[in-house]
Amino acid sequence: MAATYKPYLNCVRSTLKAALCLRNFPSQIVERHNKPEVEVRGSKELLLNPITISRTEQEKCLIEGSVNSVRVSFAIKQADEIERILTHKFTRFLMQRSEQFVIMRRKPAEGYSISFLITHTHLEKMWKGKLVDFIITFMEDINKEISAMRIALNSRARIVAEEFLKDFAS
Amino acid sequence: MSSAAVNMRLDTHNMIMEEALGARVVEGVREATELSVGDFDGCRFKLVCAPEALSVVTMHVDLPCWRELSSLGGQAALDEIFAGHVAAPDPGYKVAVRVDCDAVAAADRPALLAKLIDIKRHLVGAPFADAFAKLAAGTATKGPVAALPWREGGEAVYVMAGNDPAKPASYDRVAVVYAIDFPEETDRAMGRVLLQQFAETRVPGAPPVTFSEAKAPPLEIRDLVATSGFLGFGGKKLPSVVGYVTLTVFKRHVDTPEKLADRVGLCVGFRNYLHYHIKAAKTNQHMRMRRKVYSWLQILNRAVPKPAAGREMKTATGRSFFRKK
Amino acid sequence: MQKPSVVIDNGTGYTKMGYAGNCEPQYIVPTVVASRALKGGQEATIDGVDDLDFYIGNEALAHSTTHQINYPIRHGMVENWDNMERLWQRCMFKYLRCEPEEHHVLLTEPPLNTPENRELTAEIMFETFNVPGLYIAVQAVLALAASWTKKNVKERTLTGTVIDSGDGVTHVIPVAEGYVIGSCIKHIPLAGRDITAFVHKLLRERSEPIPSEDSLEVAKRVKEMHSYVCPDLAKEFAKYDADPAKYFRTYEGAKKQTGAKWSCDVGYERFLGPEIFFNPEIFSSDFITPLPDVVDEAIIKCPIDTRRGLYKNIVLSGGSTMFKDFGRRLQRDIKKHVDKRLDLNIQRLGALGSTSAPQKIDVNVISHQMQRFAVWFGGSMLASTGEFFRVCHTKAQYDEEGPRIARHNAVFGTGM
Repeated sequence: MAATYKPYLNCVRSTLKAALCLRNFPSQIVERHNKPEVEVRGSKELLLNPITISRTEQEKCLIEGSVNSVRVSFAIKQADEIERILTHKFTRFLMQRSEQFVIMRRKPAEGYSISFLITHTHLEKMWKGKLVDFIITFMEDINKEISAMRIALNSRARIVAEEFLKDFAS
Repeated sequence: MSSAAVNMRLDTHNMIMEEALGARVVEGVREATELSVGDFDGCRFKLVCAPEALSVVTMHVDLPCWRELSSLGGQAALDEIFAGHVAAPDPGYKVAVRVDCDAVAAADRPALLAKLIDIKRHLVGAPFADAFAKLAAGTATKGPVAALPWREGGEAVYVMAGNDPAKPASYDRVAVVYAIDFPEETDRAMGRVLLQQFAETRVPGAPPVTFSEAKAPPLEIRDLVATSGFLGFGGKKLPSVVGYVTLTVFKRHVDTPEKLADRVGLCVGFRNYLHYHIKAAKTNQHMRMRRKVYSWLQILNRAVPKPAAGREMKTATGRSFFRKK
Repeated sequence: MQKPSVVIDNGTGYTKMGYAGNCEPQYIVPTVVASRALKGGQEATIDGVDDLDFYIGNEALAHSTTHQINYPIRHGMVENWDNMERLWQRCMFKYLRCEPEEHHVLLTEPPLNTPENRELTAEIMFETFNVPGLYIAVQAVLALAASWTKKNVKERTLTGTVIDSGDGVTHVIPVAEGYVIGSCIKHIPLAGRDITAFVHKLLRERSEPIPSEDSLEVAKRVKEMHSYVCPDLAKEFAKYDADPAKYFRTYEGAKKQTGAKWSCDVGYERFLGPEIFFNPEIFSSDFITPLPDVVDEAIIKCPIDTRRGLYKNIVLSGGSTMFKDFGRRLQRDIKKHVDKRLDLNIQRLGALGSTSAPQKIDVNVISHQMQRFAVWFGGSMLASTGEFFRVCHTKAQYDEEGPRIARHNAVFGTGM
């Protein structure tokens, strides 16, 4: 992992910890509704200023806070066509399973690869620290996994080519 | 990487046809049938054995490129290899061969079967076999490029004799150029990785491979691509391709009839081999992703506090349940 | 020209695959995958092309000493998606040799499959294989369609009761207008495997001279070659005892190792084997409801306006319904139940002073040539119609909407 990656994640971690300070806040407009304000954007005074943490131009993290929910979006580095395709495939695969992941959004926020939506009910059911840990580990892993997949594809392609050429040479 | 070579290659012949024909030609089953199956490269086979004449089997073959192929040696190969068996194909099919199983001497049957099931290699491979045979015999000369638009999408293969740059008069090699394309974007990207590895991988004794980007076709066929806008099916223009792969085959690769037949099979199956491995790589990626999802879910579950101890009970079979007050 | 569709019926025990339009599946192989065990458990990754080192079907069973055997389908549902994806990969590239981009695919699912499973299936089919079109059909509905070969066009209906008996379990599945009535499905824990076990037991009890290492295999062959369903158990015994020479059969075999010939008699087990469907108490003490009673119960539970249709069209599917006269006996026994109930009703109505007698209820059990792979055959038939291509989920739809398109698969076929 690049040396600058750790501070980036640490920064995301501490910002998230601070942002995840939520309370139950029923809708002001519709009676007996309780919606994540960061999504419905019903009233300006319930939203906090969004924070962007960027490591490079491509790799950044957007944390949008509100009174009862936080949306965290990540942009994953995509150096070339293959990485772009792998990232797209992988995030689509994950978002297809967002039901299981509870806090994952089915669609990423505009301009980002993957988004999480944490509401106060999640925090009531889960440990806050562990939840942040999960998001950080997830980000670490997904980067590693995408480069690993890329390497695997290349080495696989090499073997495939070798086998064919060996057949031709024999 | 001890087990690397397992299940890498696809067969050159259709197993369904092998079984159905084998049962009739070699094992002597006399059973009426009508069996139609598909194969790679848009091929279709139909095997017919009518109840009126149980010993006669007819195999109809549909090859999408037959119009071009027949003039590039396909018809000649059909007439030569399947002499005495050629029949009129049903509508929708291009070629047919008919065998009267009872009329074939028992000793000749296995050889005939081998010929029949490899019909696709014999026909589609005719331009390759032709060029390779000339190369092996040392009679290769500069001739027209055999251009075969062998797939419906317009993907083509070009076969031509080439010369030594140092000695322009000696035609000692055959260049096989594939214009490769895949219909889906992911496949195209992965196909490109594969093709680049083909060009970078050097195996001693194997034909050198070069990969050219779509915008810069290899010199040998540049004129052809530029002027004809390519022929395709029904004059369809060749679509944007992933790229061009050139395999340069030398005499040492095809100097015996067995080697020649095998190499023709490899050439005919090249694209299917690529395709198979693209799909296999995607499956591999799915497997990795599933594994990763599983491990992430475990991490996420750690964030959920354990229910108070003592409330959860287990049955003898390991299922858990809650006792309500 | 339209390329033929591919029909793959993945059952718990066997996978039937082939091109649509044919009468028989081109391959019937066990639904099993043998692959290398991954070292290091969950975190292990697969390097290079080691993941290609796997086999399916009979080849998998042959490699059981060096590889790990896995049945990806349990109770009709896919459990191991990794292996299922690989199984499909082999089916397409090695066995059927189709380029998945060019052939529409029809897959089958058990009744009560979850929509999530359909999504996962669609994800694999469209993402990995890029199939142009996918349709996931319910096995019972295909079995109904397969029985159309016996009827004229006007009687083509997707209402009926399917009795599906394979190797492991027997299901009774009522289907109304192409939709399974899920709450009324009945399962019977008796099927082919149990008949084999019973025949095996009978042969052993009579101490027939069968080499012990082949005895189960012999029992299976005896079941397949000589068994039939008798109309009446007591009379059948009497018939055998009166003239054994006429009814007893001889089974001949050779020892696997030495090749020495041996033979044994096949007697009462000829009709006793399949009899466990009709008198389960002779075999099992846990389950003692005869098949005709179960079918009757299942239909009685269904909505009242579907029942006549369900009685009228009882369709058999699966290898264990192939016994001679199985359909006839079943029809007779169900008819007995139905008539008895109807008579009671008429009496009751008469007592109430009503004069109009209810219409007789038609009971029809349909046997046909394609029973053994009825599901596949039904799929092959439907997938070669023009309507199939219209109801298929297409790649374009998938790219637009995602896997959820596969949650629902439109019923079709009756309007042909």
